[in-house]
Amino acid sequence: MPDRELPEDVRRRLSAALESGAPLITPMPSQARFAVPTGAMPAPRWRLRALTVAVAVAGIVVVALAGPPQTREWVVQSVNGISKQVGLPAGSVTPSPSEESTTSGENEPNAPTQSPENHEASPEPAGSPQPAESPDGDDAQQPAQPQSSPTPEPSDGGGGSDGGGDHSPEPSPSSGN
Amino acid sequence: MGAEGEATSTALQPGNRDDFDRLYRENYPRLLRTMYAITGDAAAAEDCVQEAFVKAWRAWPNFRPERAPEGWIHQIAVNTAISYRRRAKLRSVGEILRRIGRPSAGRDPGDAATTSDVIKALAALPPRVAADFVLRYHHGYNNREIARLEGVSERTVGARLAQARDELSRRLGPDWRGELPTSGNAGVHLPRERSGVSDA
Repeated sequence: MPDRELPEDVRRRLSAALESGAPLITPMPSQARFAVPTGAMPAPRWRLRALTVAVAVAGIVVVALAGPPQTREWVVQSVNGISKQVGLPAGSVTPSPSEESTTSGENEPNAPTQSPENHEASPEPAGSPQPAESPDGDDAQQPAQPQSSPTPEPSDGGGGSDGGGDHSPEPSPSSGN
Repeated sequence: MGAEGEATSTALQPGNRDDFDRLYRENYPRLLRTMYAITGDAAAAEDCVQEAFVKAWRAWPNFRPERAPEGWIHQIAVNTAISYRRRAKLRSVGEILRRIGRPSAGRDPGDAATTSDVIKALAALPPRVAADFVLRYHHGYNNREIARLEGVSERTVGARLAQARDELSRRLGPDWRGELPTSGNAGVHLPRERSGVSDA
């Protein structure tokens, strides 16, 4: 097939459009993008990943230490489950400072059970989600648990509107007895 | 490929920085104009050329010397421009979806003023068709050189050029359909901007 040629004025028009639209300023090779050191490229991705992991860990720590009780218990339960598999001693839930002040205001007689000294005296903490892990000698502490538990518990057999008792790992002895 | 181009290709050493710099200097002008015809945007063309050289630099240590480096970098650049156009199309679809139900912003008057009808028509062509058209009628390559550059048959190049002329004549006027060469002017037509490659 014979190849057609463009008329002279059309070719000139084509060249004018290409040359005026993209003026030719060839950057020096040293200024070209490929001359940028390649080591600078992966750093932002690495930093982004590290930042993401750090934020996630910080979020878990914040939830575990100062979050709502149910969430905190869930975190501690999960960690305890993992530590049980690994063979480490299980941890316990410690109420947040704000919650501690409210619970101690409501339950004057049981306030001492939340003190750190009592935690050592009785390994079963007041808000522990896993009573099965408590060692011997917690018979005397059992009746005191429901009052000092930081979780809101329904007073009339689980019919509460907030449903907080549903997430409690143990039935409330006050409602059961 | 021209004689100088062949001499250049045999002299280049893969992985050598100086040789890559030479490849960059010799091919940048041709690639910039070709990318401009494909993308229709000068900034995008520059971006595509730079991106193509970044990709080529990464692959430069593994470059096979028996291959023509001009064709190699041309292929990389055209593929980069094709990717750019795909991304631009996706962006425009996203823009359309975002603007559903809102009054249209209209076309950018600055864009209309700076982009000529010729460039708009070229940018509307398929990328490889536009590239071949610019190589043939602006840079002055013949069909055989383009075929060698792109690793396709001459017939394919001829078909692409015919497609380009048809499309452009529909948009820009019958002059763009071209004319059959007479025996007197069958050779070279214009002063050419053929960086690093002389006529065969």
